[in-house]
Amino acid sequence: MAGRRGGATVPTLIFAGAVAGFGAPAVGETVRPTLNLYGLTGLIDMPTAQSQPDAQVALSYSYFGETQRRNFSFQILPRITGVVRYSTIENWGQRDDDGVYDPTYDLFDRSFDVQFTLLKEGEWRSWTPAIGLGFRDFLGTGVYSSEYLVATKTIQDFTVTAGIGWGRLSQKNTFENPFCAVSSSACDRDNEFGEGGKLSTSTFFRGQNVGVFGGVEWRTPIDGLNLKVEYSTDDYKREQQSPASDFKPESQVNVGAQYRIREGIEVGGYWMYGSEVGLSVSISGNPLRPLVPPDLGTGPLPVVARAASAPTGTGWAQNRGAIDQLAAALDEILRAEGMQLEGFAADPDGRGVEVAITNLRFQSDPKAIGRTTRVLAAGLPASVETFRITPMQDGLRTSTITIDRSDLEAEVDRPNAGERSWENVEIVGATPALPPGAWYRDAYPDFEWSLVPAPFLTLLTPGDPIRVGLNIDLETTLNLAPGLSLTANISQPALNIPNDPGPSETALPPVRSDQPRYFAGYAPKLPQLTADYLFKLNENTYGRATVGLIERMFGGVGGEVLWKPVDQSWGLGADVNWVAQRDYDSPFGFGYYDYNVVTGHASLYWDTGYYGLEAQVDAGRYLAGDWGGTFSLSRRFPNGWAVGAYFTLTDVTEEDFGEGSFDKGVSISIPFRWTVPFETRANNTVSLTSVSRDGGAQLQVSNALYPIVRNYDRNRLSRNWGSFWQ
Amino acid sequence: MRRALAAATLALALGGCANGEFNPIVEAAVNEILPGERAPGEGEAPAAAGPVTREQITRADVATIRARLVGDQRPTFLFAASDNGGYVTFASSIRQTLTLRGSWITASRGLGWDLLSATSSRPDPLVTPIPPGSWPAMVRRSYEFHAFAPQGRIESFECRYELGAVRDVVILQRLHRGVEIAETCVGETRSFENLHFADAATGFVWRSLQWLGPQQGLIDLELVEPYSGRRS
Repeated sequence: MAGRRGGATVPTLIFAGAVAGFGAPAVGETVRPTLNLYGLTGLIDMPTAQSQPDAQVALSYSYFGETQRRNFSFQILPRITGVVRYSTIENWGQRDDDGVYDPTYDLFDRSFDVQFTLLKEGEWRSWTPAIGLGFRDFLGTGVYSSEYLVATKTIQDFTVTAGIGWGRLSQKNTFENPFCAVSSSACDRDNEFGEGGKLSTSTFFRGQNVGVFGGVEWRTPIDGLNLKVEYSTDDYKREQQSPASDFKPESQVNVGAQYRIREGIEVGGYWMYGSEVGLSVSISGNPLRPLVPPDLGTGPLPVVARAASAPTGTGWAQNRGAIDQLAAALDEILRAEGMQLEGFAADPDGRGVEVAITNLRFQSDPKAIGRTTRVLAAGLPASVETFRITPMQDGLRTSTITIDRSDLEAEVDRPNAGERSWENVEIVGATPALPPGAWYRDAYPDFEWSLVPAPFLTLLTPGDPIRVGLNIDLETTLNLAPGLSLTANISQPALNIPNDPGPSETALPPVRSDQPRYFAGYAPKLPQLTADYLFKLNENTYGRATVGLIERMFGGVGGEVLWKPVDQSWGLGADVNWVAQRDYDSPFGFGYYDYNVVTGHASLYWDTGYYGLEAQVDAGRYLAGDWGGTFSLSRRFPNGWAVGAYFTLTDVTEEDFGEGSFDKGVSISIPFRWTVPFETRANNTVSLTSVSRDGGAQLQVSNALYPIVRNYDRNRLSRNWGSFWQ
Repeated sequence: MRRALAAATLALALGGCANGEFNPIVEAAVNEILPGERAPGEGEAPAAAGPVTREQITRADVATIRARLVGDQRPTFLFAASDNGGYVTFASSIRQTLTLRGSWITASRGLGWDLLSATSSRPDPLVTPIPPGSWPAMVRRSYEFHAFAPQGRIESFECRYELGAVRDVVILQRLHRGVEIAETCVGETRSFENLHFADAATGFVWRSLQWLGPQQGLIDLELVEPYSGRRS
């Protein structure tokens, strides 16, 4: 730390303006560990027992020999890391359906890894290493199937790793699998997984041998440069089987250098297996660490407490003209603050008011509520003691937050105001409507539109593993009344649009396997044309009715009901839809497929309260007419990030489902606010699904109820309440 | 001494407050002191912005501070906008705010990384002036930063003082004679150093470099016209 110890020179210079570099370095700050070629924290091809900071997300690409890997990794919880991988192995070689061997066959392979941190470094004793237990390709075709137990210890600038591995990691430097002494069947390991996509528990820790691997990483004095050397126990024998393969390992020792260009961007170069050059590049980020300062901009309105001598007359509350004037003025100020006043009602005794607002600007809803409260404190007559604020989303009244004005005045600007205010607010489900006689925004019909470039990223498609393209999307909504709207979205394909691949091969109605056809070609598309009505049945129950072209592939009519009390961590929902499959080449046609189905689900939503994990279970009938259930688990961050995974099991057989055996996938949603230094509520969502198959396919509804209301229950408001005063 | 606040902001909306007029006192101060930052009215040309003078501050009759973040080229003037139990919030023309208790910054908004609140043990010479020779050996300071919970993340420090030389400092054309005092704060995970210029006689801190947080770093604060109490 720069600074001074006595004397006048340094402070004089500082006050003169030479303050740059007067930093406040953290003590004991650790350097984030690097990734390996599998996208996991590790050496080069081998893992380590280290893990990334909680919630770290990374996209990485690696290449060596004839292998390319594209990895998406996520530190799911502080002790659990997950990876989804899409690999290309050239010249894998395989027999076709007629039994003819093709030595130049390229394998496109999906795999999933998970690693558990059993012990963090120094956690038990100061000298103890980190210990990790990993399962590589535990939910795929088994190409990389392996398990390992690994230990890592940091000694000054060196990180030393040693581990034992089963499966692919037991090909070199081995000893006999100790589990063989327990059961002879433990020596057998079958890595044939058929269509793949199934949990491969039957192979865990099996096989004749166990391999011993290890390595060292050196953080050099050059900032960001790490050197690595490792001994790999993977012999890549299968990759060499094809006569067309050029990959000939000559050593099990790999060496390499990785350089962190800046936080979040790394590149690496390697000499692999004594014969091949390798390279890697990764970008990473952390939901908990925004790319830009999150609090830059206009601060909240200062609150001036009411003077003891302030007039407290209540006559205004019976004066329609005064109420209208007050509401109009509030509307103007709130709009400047980023909120829209939808409705205003004053209690007849002049002691309380309710305002309904739409948050137009802030990623955090408590921030919008806090700023609204400050406007009310500044603008309302002194007689008003109670503010009731009802945030609205998509025209739906969500929850009502009651704030005592005297409490607000006693808390504002004081220490620990967040916790004190949270203890004093009341939260209930909003009533279906404001009291009779309330002021409403006179804005209907209200037309909204946006014309935006919509870049898309398609991953995990065989033969086309990564495609980046661009659509121009025109989205229009005509709001006819609160909750009642007409929506028309038009998408104009613009750049790098794929051609029509033709009909898919499927044993089921092609409800999703033909999806690429709906995105093909440069003709304008009509992804949505609907009439929607969102409403409340009572304080805790929400409803939705939708008719029209509901999604790109289906049109019809449907309805949904959701019961979700604000004080409850769980809710129940149900939806029923009658839909027909739209023509892929005609915006209003239904004749090509001549297919319709009644589909719907009962749903359970549960906010576990544990690291933001949210579970959802849907059970019902899917688009192909199959019956089953979907389990989803996502980690939702209060700042809008969400990373989730799901799987669906239905009565469709593995053979009928095809590649992957059953539907599963992961998705990531990144708030635009995380990347820009201004407030916005826009999000970017990327889905990394398996190949789109027809079993377990659900109707995609753009305004499903739970995503609309979930941010307004007590749990979620609590997590963001710290921003109430921001 | 200058006064800052009035109860005139009540019924602001009923009085027809327009966009951006978030506080009449601040608006008046901005118009008086920083005419170049005022949005011109219809048919009105923006006034030329020149260096701010002491005379303008006197005319504005409002408590005023000047602050500059590390890395900023120019300081920003902020004007007292509210007093809540001795926590006085100063706002700039674009409504970035600093809340002070005495000469100690207890909160910031809109600068990049908000300091939600701060507390200190008593006696705190930054809050209540103490002649430099009598400053306590140690003051405990706690800072609250944003966390995903009603209560923010708290970081606490033990801060000790070291007196430096007596010298003169000019703050907007007004000379102050005082003592430079270094304040070294050590916590469990980090440490930082504040620097203060305290009045030689009263100990009132006229100027200081204060820590706002691990990301925000230091801010150079000058009390151009101290706050002296709420106008009745």
